[in-house]
Amino acid sequence: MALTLALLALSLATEASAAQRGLSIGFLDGVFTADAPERAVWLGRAADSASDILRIDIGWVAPKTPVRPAGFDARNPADPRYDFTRADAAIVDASSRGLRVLASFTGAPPWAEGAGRPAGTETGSWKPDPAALEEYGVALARRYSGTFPDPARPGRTLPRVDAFQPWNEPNLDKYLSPQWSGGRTFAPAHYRAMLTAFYRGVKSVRASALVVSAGTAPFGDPVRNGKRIMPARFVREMLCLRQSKRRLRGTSCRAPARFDVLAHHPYSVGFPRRRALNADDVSIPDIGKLTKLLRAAERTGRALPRKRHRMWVTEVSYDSSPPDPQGIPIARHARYLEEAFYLLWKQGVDTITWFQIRDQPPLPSYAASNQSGIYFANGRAKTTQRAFRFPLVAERSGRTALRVWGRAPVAGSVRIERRSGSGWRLVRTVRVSRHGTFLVRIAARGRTTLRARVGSDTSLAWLAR
Amino acid sequence: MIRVLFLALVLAAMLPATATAQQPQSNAPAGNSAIEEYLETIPGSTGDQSAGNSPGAGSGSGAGDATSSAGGSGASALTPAQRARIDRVGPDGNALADVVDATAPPRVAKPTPEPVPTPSGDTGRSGLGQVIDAASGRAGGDGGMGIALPAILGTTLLGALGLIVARRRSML
Repeated sequence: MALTLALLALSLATEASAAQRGLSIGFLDGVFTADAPERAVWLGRAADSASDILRIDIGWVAPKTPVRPAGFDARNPADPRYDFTRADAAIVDASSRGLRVLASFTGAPPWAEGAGRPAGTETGSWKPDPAALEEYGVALARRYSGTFPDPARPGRTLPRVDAFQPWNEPNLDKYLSPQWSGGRTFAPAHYRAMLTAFYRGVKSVRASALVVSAGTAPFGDPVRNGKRIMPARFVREMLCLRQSKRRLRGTSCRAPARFDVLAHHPYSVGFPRRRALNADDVSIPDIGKLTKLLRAAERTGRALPRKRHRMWVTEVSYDSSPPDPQGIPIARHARYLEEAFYLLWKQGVDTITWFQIRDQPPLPSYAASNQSGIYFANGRAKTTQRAFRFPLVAERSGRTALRVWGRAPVAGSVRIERRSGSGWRLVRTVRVSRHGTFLVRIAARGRTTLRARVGSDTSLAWLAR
Repeated sequence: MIRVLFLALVLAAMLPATATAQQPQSNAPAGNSAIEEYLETIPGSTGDQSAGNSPGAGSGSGAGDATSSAGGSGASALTPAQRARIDRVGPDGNALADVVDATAPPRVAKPTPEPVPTPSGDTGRSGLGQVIDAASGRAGGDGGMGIALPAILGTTLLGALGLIVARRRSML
């Protein structure tokens, strides 16, 4: 009896501390760098959806010349050959709405690429020069330090940006090439050099800014010389680790990777709990494959600085139907988003940027474009918008109990209610902070429909079996 | 009895060839069958396979539209309507549809004017050549038993034939 009580107390304490872990959510969408009127509308909708953070693709805004311009001071964000106009405007507008910014970029200017880029290789992807990334890191950290004068608003300063992300999906040759060279992987070690150089540049200006590794794409080609390296393999090699039978071993590493946050893009085939088929691919429930590598690298000094690195998901989404005829039916789309958020949070992810806030037009086709917004292209909210603003998930933790997780859009008392006949009956109340997460256990047997309310917000109902 | 044994051996000898002759397939996230960066390669019977060889691995041309389905690949064995009906069941239906796709025989690809790029370096060997390569584990990837598998199967087949001949002679 005493043992049972002790175990119950331990379990409740674990759940309570788990609920203390927050979850920042937001979006990646090109609309945030669009022209002012359109940008303003969508930034407003992002804030209305209880977002905390936006991933804004600011680009590598240096001159696109084949040769580095004479006298170009790449470390100086005030150099007139830089064009930060669009990036500044997006960051100012986002910050004015209380949204934090993750500033990301991918693609090198021609002068910062390696020599001999083969024809047919993506522009900007060929062996980007780590030294040039270090310089750009210095420029970005200076410009968005919170003290740099805003050229568009005399007398005012540009906002501070808290996090920078060099590159996108470096395990795809579309973004970083070559992936392989001479029958051996090339991209993981090269990206390690890029990331570490950029980190050095940013931290030389501001130690508190976060450097987030480029989010890896979820799937790779299981062959040598493919166009994509599987993400777990990519991260393993980036962190100077190798898999030897069932054990992870270190490899020699003259300059280990330096970063604050590891990022991934777990786009998934099928429902959120479906695991990737290949051992080194990483879908939503497979984040543990990456955190296991991260912790091993931390223990052996292969992920620097020596501290616990955070895990972010900087892209994930599903297409919905409508409008994409092959997408997920809209009611299930909302449920998939909620479940994806919960599963990622449960695996230690503390920040998620959903790709994207609004649907893209079906160009050149639905199959080749993304209709993954929580709003339709015309601005009408999908059911998913409500799920994004106030996600709620219940999963069975025993024959007679349910674990209920959610993220509150506002501070207050969250009332968890259970459907009872044609009405709702209160089963639990939890105090939460604004955008805070909660995790509670309630007694429930069989099919149970739950919802949560806080302030004037009501979550979607969740049916647990 | 010997006839049954013989038939079983012949079938056993054919099975690996049939399995390895299947084209590698891939799954696409729902609604994104033509975005090849996010296609998941289905592991083949000889080990891993390249997504680029998949009939569903489009190049952004939207060619995947006609054959793709929710949660499935451009090379789905199910029609969109069938897929949608199964998907309505929820995660279990999703999983079932994936299993059907993963285990279905390959579809005959429509002739295309342009050769499909093969990142695995496929040099356009004949179908038989590919079957032999696949059976011997030379068709890319790290899987396969090498030449051992065809050798074992061939020896078994010859042994069975020898047994039949010996049995018939003893009956004369």
